[in-house]
Amino acid sequence: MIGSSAPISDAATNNTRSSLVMDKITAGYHADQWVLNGVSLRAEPERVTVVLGPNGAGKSTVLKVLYGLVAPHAGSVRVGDQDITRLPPEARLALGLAYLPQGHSVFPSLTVQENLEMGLWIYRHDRARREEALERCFAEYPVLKDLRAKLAGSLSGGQQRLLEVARLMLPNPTVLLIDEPSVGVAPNLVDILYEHIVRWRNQGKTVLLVDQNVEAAVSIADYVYTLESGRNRLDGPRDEFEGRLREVVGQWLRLDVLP
Amino acid sequence: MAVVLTTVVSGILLGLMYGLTGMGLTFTMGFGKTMNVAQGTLIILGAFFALTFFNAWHLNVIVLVILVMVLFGVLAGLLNLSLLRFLRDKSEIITLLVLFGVAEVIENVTSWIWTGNLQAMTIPTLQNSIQWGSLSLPKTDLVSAAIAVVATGVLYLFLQYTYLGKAIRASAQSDLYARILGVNTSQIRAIIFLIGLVLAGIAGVTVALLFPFAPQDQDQWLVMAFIVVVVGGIDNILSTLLAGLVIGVAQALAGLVVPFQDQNLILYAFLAIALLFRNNQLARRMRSL
Ligand SMILES: Nc1ncnc2c1ncn2[C@@H]1O[C@H](COP(=O)(O)OP(=O)(O)OP(=O)(O)O)[C@@H](O)[C@H]1O
Ligand SMILES: [Mg+2]
Repeated sequence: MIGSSAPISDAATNNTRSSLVMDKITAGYHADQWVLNGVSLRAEPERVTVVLGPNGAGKSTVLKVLYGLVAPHAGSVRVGDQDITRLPPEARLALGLAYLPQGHSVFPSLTVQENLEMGLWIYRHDRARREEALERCFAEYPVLKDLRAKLAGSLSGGQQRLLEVARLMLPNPTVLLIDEPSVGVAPNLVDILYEHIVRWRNQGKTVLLVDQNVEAAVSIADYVYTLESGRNRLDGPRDEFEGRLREVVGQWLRLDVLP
Repeated sequence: MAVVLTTVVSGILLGLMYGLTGMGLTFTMGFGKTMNVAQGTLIILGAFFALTFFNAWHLNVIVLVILVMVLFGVLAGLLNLSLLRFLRDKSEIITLLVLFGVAEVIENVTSWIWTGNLQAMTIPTLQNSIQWGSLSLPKTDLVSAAIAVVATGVLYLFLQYTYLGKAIRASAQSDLYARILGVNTSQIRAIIFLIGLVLAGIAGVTVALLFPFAPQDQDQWLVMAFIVVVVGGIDNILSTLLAGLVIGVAQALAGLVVPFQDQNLILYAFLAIALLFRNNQLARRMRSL
């Protein structure tokens, strides 16, 4: 009943490996104060594409436009050969996109199990698929099975992150938009998160990663974009980029201390 | 002793009904983040619907409740389509003002249709009492308490165990994170508004069962709903019902010592005490952030 107007395609069995394209996007939170001024980028299947930039450059806004949380003023977004510029998030989810926002996004007074069930909301009319997905999830994250009756708010920060990651992957997405996964997370868990990202890449998924942790992000990147003040700055394959890394980041540090 | 027992039991029965009058308000505040100031007029409208249908067709109470629920569902749908969809991204204060306007219109329309006179619904089969030991319980009180308990119970089970109920709870915690998981939260808000209205309609039927009523009584029921919400909080509908029960018992016991015309003072005393207490709670919660 809810949102049944969205074209529900089969994200799990749809193995078309989709590239994600952002084409000359202008967008912002108030009319005429654009945060993005004609940003273009492209993320390919089986690649980790990393977006770097100083604070306030518009990295998170890029992900929000790609996921349909901020409507662009101009430009287009495509996945595969489909234009998704005007689709709401639920329709993008159904096309295989998934988005991990910055910060803690669990529902604290829902149980772990209920949080996971919310991750399968787009399959609310397909009980068999939901049960199968939950079973797969519990097989992969046995901890969550033991914790499933607990309120998510009572879990440790690390367990909550794990829950978010498990919930993100439940509908078996093909395109992942990940914002600052390592902020506020214990170092050992950060390593695990990057291992996950590499594994998803190797499974053929399209990964777009925004990260402050420049060195770590670049080390798993295949392709790097940099943004400054809502504009494309440099981009290139990781090997090419690594050489200029110090120079570029050094510039941002100086930019940050300017008044 | 028998007097006290009778008083407590009738306080409980009446209190459950008070809880029901606060349920719609709790629900729209707790889950929809909207203070529905039209709650009082909607309750009175429900009472008039019940009265009219009963006088026309002599329906039994269960059928009356269902009919009023359906009509309030339709009313909620119309309000959602006409007004509220334009308010989704407006500030809360504008929504509040519009709901004030809606309340004003409903009150005027009810006065126009049913006049401003005090009216009462008399269901002959419910006019006697059930004798239970030394207790004598009016059937109307029993029926309205039962309606309150069943309505709350059904709502609780719905929220706790259905997929839609879980999505409503999730959206209440974070509209954004629910949207990210594909929940159409503007539809959820419309559904929350609808449930709040239907609860007001059901409460209206119980008002008609127990009291004479007139359109201008809406303030009194809005205040009652508000007191219940302040005492019970907005996090849990079961504590709303419990709050109503406590208020009902306190009011009934106070009636033994306080003259009839001062009984409303008890309600306001409750409101004052609860506000003091809740303020502390709120302050503590803010400090812990
Ligand atoms: N919800 C919002 N409403 C208004 N302005 C916003 C909003 N979110 C972000 N902005 C503004 O848009 C600009 C870009 O923000 P964005 O969050 O995209 O940057 P970012 O590159 O992700 O920064 P950070 O590294 O701090 O996360 C900033 O100037 C910010 O103040
Ligand atoms: Mg950001």
